[in-house]
Amino acid sequence: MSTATPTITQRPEETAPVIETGAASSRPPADDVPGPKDTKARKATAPWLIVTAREITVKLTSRSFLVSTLVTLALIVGAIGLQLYLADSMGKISVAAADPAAGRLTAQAEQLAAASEQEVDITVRKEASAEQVREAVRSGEVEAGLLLDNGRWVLLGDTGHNDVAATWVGAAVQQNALAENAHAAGTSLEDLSRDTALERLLLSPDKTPEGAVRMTTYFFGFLFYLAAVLLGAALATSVVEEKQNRIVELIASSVSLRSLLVGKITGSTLLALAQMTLFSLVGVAGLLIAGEEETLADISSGLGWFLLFYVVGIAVLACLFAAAGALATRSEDIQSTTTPVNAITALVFIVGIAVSGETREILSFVPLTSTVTMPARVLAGEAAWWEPVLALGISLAAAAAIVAVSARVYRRALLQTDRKLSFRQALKLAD
Amino acid sequence: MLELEELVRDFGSHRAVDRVSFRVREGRMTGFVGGNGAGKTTTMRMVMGVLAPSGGTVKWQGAPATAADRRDFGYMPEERGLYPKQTVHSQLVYLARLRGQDAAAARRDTLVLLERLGLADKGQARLESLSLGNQQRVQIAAALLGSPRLLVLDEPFSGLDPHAVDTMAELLREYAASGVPVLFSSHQLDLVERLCDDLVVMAKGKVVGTGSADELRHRDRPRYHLVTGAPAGWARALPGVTDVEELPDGARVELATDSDRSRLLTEALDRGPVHAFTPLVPSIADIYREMTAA
Repeated sequence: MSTATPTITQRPEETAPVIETGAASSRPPADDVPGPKDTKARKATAPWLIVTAREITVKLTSRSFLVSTLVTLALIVGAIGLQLYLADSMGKISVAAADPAAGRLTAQAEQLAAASEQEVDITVRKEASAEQVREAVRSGEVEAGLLLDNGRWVLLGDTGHNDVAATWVGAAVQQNALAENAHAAGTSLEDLSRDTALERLLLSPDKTPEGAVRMTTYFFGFLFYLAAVLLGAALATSVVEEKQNRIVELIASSVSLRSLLVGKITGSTLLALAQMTLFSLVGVAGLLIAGEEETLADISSGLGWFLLFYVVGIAVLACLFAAAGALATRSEDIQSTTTPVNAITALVFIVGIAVSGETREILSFVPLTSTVTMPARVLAGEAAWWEPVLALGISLAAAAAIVAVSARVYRRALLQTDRKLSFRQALKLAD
Repeated sequence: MLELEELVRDFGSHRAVDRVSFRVREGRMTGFVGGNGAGKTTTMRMVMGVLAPSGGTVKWQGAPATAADRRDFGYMPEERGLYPKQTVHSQLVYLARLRGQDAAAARRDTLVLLERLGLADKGQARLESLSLGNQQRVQIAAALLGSPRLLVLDEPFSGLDPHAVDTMAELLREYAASGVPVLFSSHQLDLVERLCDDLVVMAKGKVVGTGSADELRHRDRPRYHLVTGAPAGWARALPGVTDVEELPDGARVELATDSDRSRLLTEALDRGPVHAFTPLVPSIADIYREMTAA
């Protein structure tokens, strides 16, 4: 075959009518005539922004995205509602009693609870006899029963004792008994309980309490994990979309693959952050309604640092998921290529809240793990001003490097639409 | 004008494209033919910048083609594909914008093309809801977006229904007529015959022939089919005759130059009646077979 030598080569142009360069574009542009027309924008929108805009529009009009967001919202609202209901019903009990003194006793129990900032509401149901009290408890109409047996109060339960009644009615009985015994011994309850209170003093009341730092770390560690769940598969699937649809060759001929990746990462990340914000707002509203201002105050300590590191951490994570998507050929491969990234995220969550001391100091400079460890160190007053700045810089550099490598992997795996690649294979392939 | 100079592409130790050089001229439709694995798709991918060449240069208007140049190239890849879940209109606008058009121009271009391809009422439909034939038309539109200055089409006719083939052929002619160089590969040699002005033939990664279709048809010595009713072996003795294939009712005669044909015809008429005297022009298929035969 190779012996068939080319016998005809192209003749010089003068033998063929060649339209001169530029002649075509000087034709008057008309919409119904094909050919070159000068419709290019003077200053075209950056390609990655166009990709980002498509990513967001497509997602916002996708039924599955909307449904999953609504379902998650419903779950959050439901969880908060359930907690509110439980908290509300926990303090409300009805007690059956035959003795008129029971009313005074339960009122005293309510006061004692209120003094300890617990809301307890005990309703007394008047019964004619001890037998009727027992019957009411047995039938489940009331949570507990109170009987006066030879001057001693007895709390009745059916199969178990009501904790609230046991605690606060018990405290009331104890108080009354102590007062009576003190009186019998010729002294008073006040004298007996003098100097029994433990005085408490904080040495650094201005510093963020350690418990609050721990709470915030835990909260953001969890949010990070949640973001990984929301963002991960969605981003990796979005990155593999063009390859699966085989439109990638068309796109690669117009814009650089890095633009495509950066656009997709930005779009998916913005959407995930918007989702997280929505969920967090609903959560905060729930905590406010539930009267958990204190928990909220704990979490919001040093919120600024946590938010800053959170956004940067999510960006690094997004780049990793994009790399995982770049390795896949079809959405079926996503599961296996994203597994290592999911493992890393879980590790960040666990390690971030578990470590302390020197390990925490080292991890606070490592991208991803710095997401929760560095703000925690800043709040604890352990870090100098340049340390969080350096950690942020390292994270951003890592994000850029991961995007560069992903674009390379993506480009090399681009025309391998028939199989999934390992990371090593993808790097080995030529451009 | 698009020029390929000594283009090389290696995949590992395998050389898929070996020092390929040819031109695609303004206003000309250039057919790109060759068997499977001849290197056509790899060559076109290098033209579009989807694959990096291992060696050689792709030149556009005399200078090495840049990414910005390539944004002006219309491309139909061998592997077809669009976004199945997105509407036809929105994805075409998106692709046009990626090629540097502003939003308004992208929308205008899309509407014009949809109208032209008979898809005006399908703009808001999701791609996957369209018939296969219409999906192919959308693919054609995707290649023609953004007022391309060069068209590179890899097997543009494969899988098209006969109507779409006609529409496509007509469109390509119009683009070529407006000055756009068109490079298209095809296995359907009858279509290449019908459409192309220039031809590039590849085999085993190498260009085995290029030229205008006319040049290629007449590159060999002129041949005539002479029908006289009896074997015409006598023609061998005539000056200017280089080869004679005797037939029961005449002969196929090869001449040194076309001006020798009068002598042949005069001699035949002297010897008796001549029922037919026709020039034998090879088809593109004949040329292709001859060039790629080894």
